[in-house]
Amino acid sequence: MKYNDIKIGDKEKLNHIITIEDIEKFVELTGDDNKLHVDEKYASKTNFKKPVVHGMLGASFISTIIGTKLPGDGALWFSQSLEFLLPVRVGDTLTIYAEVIKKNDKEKIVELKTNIYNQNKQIVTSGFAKVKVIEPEVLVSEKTENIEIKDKVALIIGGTGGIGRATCIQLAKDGFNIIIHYNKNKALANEIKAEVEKLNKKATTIKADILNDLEIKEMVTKGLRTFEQINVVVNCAATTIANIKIQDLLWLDFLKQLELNIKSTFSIVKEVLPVMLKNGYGKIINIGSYSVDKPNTEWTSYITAKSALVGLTKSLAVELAPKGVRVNLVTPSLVNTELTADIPEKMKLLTAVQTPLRRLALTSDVAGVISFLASEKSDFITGENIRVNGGQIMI
Amino acid sequence: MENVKSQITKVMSAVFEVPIEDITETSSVDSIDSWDSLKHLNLILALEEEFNIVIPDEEVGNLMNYKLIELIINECRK
Repeated sequence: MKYNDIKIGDKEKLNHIITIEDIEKFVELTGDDNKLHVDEKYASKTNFKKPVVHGMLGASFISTIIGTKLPGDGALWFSQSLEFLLPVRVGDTLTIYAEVIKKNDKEKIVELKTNIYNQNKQIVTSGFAKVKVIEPEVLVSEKTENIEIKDKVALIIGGTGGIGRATCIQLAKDGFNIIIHYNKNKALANEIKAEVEKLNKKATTIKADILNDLEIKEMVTKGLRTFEQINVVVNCAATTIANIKIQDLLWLDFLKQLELNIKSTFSIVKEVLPVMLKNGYGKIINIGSYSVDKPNTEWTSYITAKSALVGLTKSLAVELAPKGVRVNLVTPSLVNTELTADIPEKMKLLTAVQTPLRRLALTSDVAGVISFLASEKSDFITGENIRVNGGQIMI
Repeated sequence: MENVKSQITKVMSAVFEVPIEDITETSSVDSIDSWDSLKHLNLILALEEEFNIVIPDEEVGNLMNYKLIELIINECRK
């Protein structure tokens, strides 16, 4: 954040759940193995009864909020007062707040109120920080409009899924640096990161629950801090599709699919849009479903959500086209992935035999079309739905 | 299970009049030139007789390759 963009009253916050691993890492780093922090037996004999988390461990997140959010890059933190008001325990959820209370324009210094709350909304640590905002000349020179995008960056949502993984690898081959989003499978995300790096491109992995707006915001912030750009977003996130008869279907089932397909897409687009608008260029690629064209029974909530995604894609496309942001949909037929693992073998065989090209779609088929839509070759295409279905459109 | 495979292979070879060694797990309506609509009906009848089963009408059109034939035969035998 630049000094001139910072206003008195600006606020930021972040959350962190204290774990036993945090304590172990803090002890390893600092050597502070005070028994009150690490020895349950010792602590039980004191008024605290249970181990107390190091005060500076919680306070260290003030560094995170100053260094990454307010003011963020270029922050030179030179003063901090602290009062530890209540003990923090393992399992507590800390919310760290920073609020600008004063500015010194001459020295480009901001003063912040820095408070840490626990899950019971009690202040556990309070204090004030002084931070000088350093703005390197190189950043000023980059302020010119229409900057040339040298290192293209693609954010792959659901990067550890079947289509997501193939897309990460394909776009790395195309020259993109890759932000691999994952929700659960950290090991696989790291494996894909290594594969991307073997292709001489940079990659980073970011964990986020895309049903949580705060985590989406943090994912995009982290991605931009690593690569400074996001030029392409591919939304490959998916959840398993339950077969539910209409009589048993609940509104909750619709909400589950709508939140994943519509709410998360909307929230991700809102977060990446500022950087794309600044560049006057961007590509957003969503993944549709063949079941919208050829509905099958018991998938009502899924088909409804994927149909809504067609509308969302077109609406975004028409509004963002004049600003240089292209939004398209890729609609594969049945792809053999983890997502479709529960679909009976007979249905897969029948789909293949009824497909003019006589097979199911491969993740590489889908990634190939995504590659085209992510490239300059498709710059005159927006609001389009490209079907990857082996010719099923004809029958 | 292996017996079912060999029975299917034998029936397909006889119905389509192709050498038994030409029938494989990838055999399909696309790879066997003689597999036309008339031979398809003969295939259904021959499979019903060989396995002593009745193939439901809705499955008749689905027996389009070796793997589907095997899968549907096994379903009918349950």
